[in-house]
Amino acid sequence: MPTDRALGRRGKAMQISPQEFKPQARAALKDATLQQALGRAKVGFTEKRRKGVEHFDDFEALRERGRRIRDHALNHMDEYLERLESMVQAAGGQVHWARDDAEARDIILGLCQQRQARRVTKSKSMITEEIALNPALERAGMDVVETDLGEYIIQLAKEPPSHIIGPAIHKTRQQISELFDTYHHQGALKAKLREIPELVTEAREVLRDKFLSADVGITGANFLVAETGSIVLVTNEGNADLTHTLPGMHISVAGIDKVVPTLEDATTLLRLLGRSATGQEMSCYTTFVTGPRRTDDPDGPEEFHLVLLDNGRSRMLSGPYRDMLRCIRCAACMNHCPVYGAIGGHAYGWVYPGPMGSVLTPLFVGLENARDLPHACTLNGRCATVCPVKIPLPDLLRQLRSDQFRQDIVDRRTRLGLRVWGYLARQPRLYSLATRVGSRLLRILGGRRGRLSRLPLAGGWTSGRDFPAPQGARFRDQWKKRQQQRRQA
Amino acid sequence: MSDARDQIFRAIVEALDRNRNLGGTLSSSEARSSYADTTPPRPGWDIPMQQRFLDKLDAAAASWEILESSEDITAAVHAYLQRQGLPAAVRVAEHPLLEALRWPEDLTVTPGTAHQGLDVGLSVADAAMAETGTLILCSGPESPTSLVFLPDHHLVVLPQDRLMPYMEDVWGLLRERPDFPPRSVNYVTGPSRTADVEQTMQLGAHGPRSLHVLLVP
Ligand code: SF4
Repeated sequence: MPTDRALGRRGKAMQISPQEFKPQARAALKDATLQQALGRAKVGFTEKRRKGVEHFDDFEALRERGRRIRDHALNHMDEYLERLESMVQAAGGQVHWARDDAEARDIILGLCQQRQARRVTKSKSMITEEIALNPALERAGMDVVETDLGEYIIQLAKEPPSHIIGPAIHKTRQQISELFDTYHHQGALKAKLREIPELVTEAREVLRDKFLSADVGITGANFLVAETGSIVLVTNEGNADLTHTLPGMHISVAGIDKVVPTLEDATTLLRLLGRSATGQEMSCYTTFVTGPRRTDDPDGPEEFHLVLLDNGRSRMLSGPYRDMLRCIRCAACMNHCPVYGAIGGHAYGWVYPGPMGSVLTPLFVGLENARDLPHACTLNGRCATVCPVKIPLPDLLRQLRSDQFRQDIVDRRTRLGLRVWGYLARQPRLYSLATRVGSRLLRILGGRRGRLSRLPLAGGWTSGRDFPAPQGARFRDQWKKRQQQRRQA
Repeated sequence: MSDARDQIFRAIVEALDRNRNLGGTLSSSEARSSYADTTPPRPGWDIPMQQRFLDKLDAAAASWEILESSEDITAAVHAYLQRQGLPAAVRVAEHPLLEALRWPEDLTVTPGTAHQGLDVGLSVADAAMAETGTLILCSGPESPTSLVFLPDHHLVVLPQDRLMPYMEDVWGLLRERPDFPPRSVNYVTGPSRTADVEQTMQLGAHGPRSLHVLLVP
């Protein structure tokens, strides 16, 4: 499978892979610098989202509409992709179809070579990570420059992103100062710790020259609008716009799942995306690009190419994991995940980390290559509560576990625990008793901190993470109470 | 290549058919009306629309001033440059509203797209929305996209009748243009920024470090 090839290559280059989740997670927990960076990130993102959502009157209704838009688009994907294709062509652009990562790489490489590109600028795009594009272009002798500041930092560090919207979230200011010293000053600054404005200005100046001398600009797409054949690009830095406006060729790469019917549908999803990702009502720059430069336009690329990638998405459409295709890549699930918060993104071993990654990675690279990921979860359910398009992430992880069980690749120890749980779950009375006793006990053990760093009978679990002690009433009790209240109302 | 296209479509249709057979078929327009016929949930406000817009500009770290007439644009630009201690030079979009102005002699006015050494750019917005304090600029002969992103300071003239409450209203307005959709529709909310270094917000990442709006009647 081509995905495996890409995986192998990245795995070798980065010394990282989803098979190695456990040792990678252990190493992450011991990495003091990483823990320092993660601590800051966790608080930052969740606070911002909370404020962003609080200021919206009926965020639940917005989520419901978002879910319906995405479901509708997926249920009619064929029609909307056809419309999208014909509208891109009508605007003077070209559409390319890629079944897998290798095909996508070949198409993009071919386009760059056709343009005799020496320098290629890129704006942050998870899908180009998914297809491992940069190494392919570099092998062909091209200078590939990531222009999102976070992505630029990790490109210098020769690392993959550790977060889908803040790729350098695991880096501290000291580490960034050192990287800039090495690459911009040849070590002359002796790794002096520098202020943030100074670092940002320096990167701006270095990258400005790259923007102005690029032959091809490559972007992803946050959404594809069937109605007009537009791609939607969302940034705060403005780098995507310099990437698609200045060079002679703009290539946009997107998954076939990104299509939505109309500009109004994209509008609703943008209201969800900004608030869920960074707590912003609107990112600084939201751009709708349709085709190449028109005849009397003063700027813009002569050529526009849209590369549409399947890479397993049509397969996901047919099975029990279809809900996952609603994902708008906002990162709220990982920002609210205790496992991600403890180990960061790299331990997950592939492009997509956190809860969404624990579902996507096994689906993209095969369950047998990512056996620990469906278990990298405490099933606390916070990810599903914050997901702007209501993806039942814990259910999908459970489904993956049961697929895995059926594939008989879980070791015996795990299976025994599951069997006990399965037995209890089938006996409502017993289950109720067990969880009541269990959750009281855990609350006492958790104490004021509300977290347990050791859990009886689950040492294998808590050696890698804190277990959040149950807060307040049990779900079953809350549910009963709520049903009663409803009946009374 | 068309092989790939066919195969992808076949896979999608197969996947959907299996599902449609279970849930019955709805044509896409029928199914869309299940949500699209109602107004989308969106933020409300109980202050005048213009006030909402100005408040949101402030929140996005943009600055603004209200001019009595479009003839005052030149003086306002001049004053801005002086306040910021900038050289008396500005790149101006070739927009009829700006071309009709009489620029003072001591101000160097360069038209069109410019790439390097660009301190200040002046454009005219095609629309704006009060919902989020956002300016909308459409690419075209009257509005180069690079002028929105390359200058350190971006000054934008907004004719007040272009201010709309919501993004949906902006689409309504833009769809009336004969050239719709232009290559690039840019929604701009405040100056460029990044939080990529230690989650700390810093203005002036790749685009303008400051954004100044001139509202004209
Ligand atoms: S799964 Fe939901 S919360 Fe996670 S990135 Fe996707 S849309 Fe956001």
